[in-house]
Amino acid sequence: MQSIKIGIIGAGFIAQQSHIPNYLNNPSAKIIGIADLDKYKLNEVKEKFGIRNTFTDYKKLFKMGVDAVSICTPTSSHSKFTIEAAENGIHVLCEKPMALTLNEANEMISVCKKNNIKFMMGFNYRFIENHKKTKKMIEKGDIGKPFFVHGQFASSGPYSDIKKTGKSFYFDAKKGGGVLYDSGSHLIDLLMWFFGDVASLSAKGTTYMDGIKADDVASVSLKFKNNIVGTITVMWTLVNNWSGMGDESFVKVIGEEGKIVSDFFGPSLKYFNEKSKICRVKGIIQLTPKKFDPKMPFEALNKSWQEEIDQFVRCISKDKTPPITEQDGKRALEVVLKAYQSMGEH
Amino acid sequence: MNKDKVAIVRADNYNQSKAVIEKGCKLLGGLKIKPGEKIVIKPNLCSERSCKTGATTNLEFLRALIEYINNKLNGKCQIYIVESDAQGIDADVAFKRFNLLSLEESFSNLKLVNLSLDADLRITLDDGAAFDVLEVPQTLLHCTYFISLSKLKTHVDQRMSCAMKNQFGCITKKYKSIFHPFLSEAIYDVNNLYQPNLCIVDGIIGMEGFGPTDGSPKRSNLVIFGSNHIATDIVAARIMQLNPKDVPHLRFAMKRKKYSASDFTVIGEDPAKMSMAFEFTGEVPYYIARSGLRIQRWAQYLTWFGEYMQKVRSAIGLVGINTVTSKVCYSDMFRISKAMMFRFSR
Repeated sequence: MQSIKIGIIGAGFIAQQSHIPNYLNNPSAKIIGIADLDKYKLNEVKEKFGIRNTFTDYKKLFKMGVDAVSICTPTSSHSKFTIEAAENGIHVLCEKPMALTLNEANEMISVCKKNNIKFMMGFNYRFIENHKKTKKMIEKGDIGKPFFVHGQFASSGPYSDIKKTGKSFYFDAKKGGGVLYDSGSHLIDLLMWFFGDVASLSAKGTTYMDGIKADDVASVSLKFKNNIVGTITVMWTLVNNWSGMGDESFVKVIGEEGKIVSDFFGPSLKYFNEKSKICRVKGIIQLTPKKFDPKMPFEALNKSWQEEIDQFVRCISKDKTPPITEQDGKRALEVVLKAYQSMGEH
Repeated sequence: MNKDKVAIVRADNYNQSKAVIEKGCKLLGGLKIKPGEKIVIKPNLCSERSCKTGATTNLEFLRALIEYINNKLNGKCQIYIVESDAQGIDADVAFKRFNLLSLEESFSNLKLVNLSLDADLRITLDDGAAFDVLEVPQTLLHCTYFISLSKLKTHVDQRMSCAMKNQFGCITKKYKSIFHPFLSEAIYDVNNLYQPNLCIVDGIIGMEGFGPTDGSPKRSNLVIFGSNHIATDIVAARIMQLNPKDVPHLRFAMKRKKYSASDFTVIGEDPAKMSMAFEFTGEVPYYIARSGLRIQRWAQYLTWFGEYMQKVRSAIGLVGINTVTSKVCYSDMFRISKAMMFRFSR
């Protein structure tokens, strides 16, 4: 069977950390080229991954006859690349968030539909095993009826580079920067995957770092249509110590009989149900899906990226609907934009 | 604080099962169960040998126990009879061989569960003696009341196999002999996790000699009921004219839990009057076997040390040496390495 020909637009962190290595791991996909404005990044990719065809003009990449592209560029360019790819009959895996505005999102949806191409959002946290388990446990009623959720995401994000460069598109709100766009969209998508659409929200946020023009800490209160109340808190931190800050990223769901706390990066979740004998003996317990080692913190995250790529490739080769669609992308974007409105920004 | 209780009830044959169970539970103060419980019964089905040999649970006794529970709760509970695959026999084969399928037909609220097929999660044990993670079957995770139903038997390596050893069958792995060099610790861990609410040791027909599967039937005409697994085994040891401290897994548990005869009371029949000599394999074969296990234990320590060295190398390889030096603190690496202790991750 012929491999799916893949192009990558954007040679930055997420392309190098996730898309490129995982396409290389997939026997049904073949990377035939990569495009980026930055020649240094292109050289880096050439040396690191052996990708020979590198371009500063993405149109040349399209002319190579790619079947699908991964869009790994700043948010402000997602719309442009998606529309052009779709008009060329090229399937799209788009990094989050989907776009800067709802108008852009609607246009992307319309063009993809018109050209009958597959569009998948890069919300890979849905593929983290403990999040999958959390969803199943909620649906099975393992904590009774859920009534509250709290999602928190604290990472150094672009602040890990701030001492080196002081620059990143993340720091510019006009280019889709800001922690709510960046991390918030992941969390919002995850919680909507668990509980459905958001009915109403209110948000607060600020920039604590000097010289940055985008939010770096934000908190959103939500009410879902099924009456579940929740909060989302996201932040970029200057503390770059996983062992000290790793437990600041999690999703906590509280139900009538107990709770689940799902580790954001790792493979484990903490579980308590007052009726379970084990929990009555041991209190809150830590559970890990069978195939993961609870002592390897990034194993589940890396595998979620692999699964995202594998699912995208499978959808194209088997002509199936992607598991995370453009509608999911738009729904998450809608909530992010409403949150910014509530914050009085953007 | 209320002391644990162990009751000894005389029982001449299995026709008296119903009366014996009623008396035993009454002596313990009654079964503390309520409607809606998820009750797990762990019988002893580790071998294909018939219950007439004393190796496995008697069906009549098991049926009487289920009837007793259903009468008490008017059937308003869910009962699970659980067993895992063993080297000697798979659980599903055992259920069929010992006609436990007839119980599923007789009782609509009863289900047979093969624990080896029921686990997709592992639980982290912070206080494990043998395990740092252990597969936890869904049925046991959500169990609200646990009954251990074992036999009064000798054991070639442990001198006896009664209440505590019965829970070894809650380990989902089929080939459990790899844990034999650490059997005392493994038995301790599973009992510490599942902590049976009620332990029943059936000595109407038990086993002596080359137990727990290849010995000869031994009629003791009694059944032991206990609210604590260590207390139950201490009494069982005395019945078998054994010093409890000569039983390795019992000695380990008593020491670890600081548990002694002063922590429980014995009611019902006098254990001194009910005790009888059990034939064992002999001290020389026993100590030869124990020496062999000790050698295996040290071989396992060396294997783990080698694997530990590999894991340290892999941990660095997974995140990349550049990431280690620039993004991950050395405290992270230390914490991960320290967590890779010499214990099973099963």
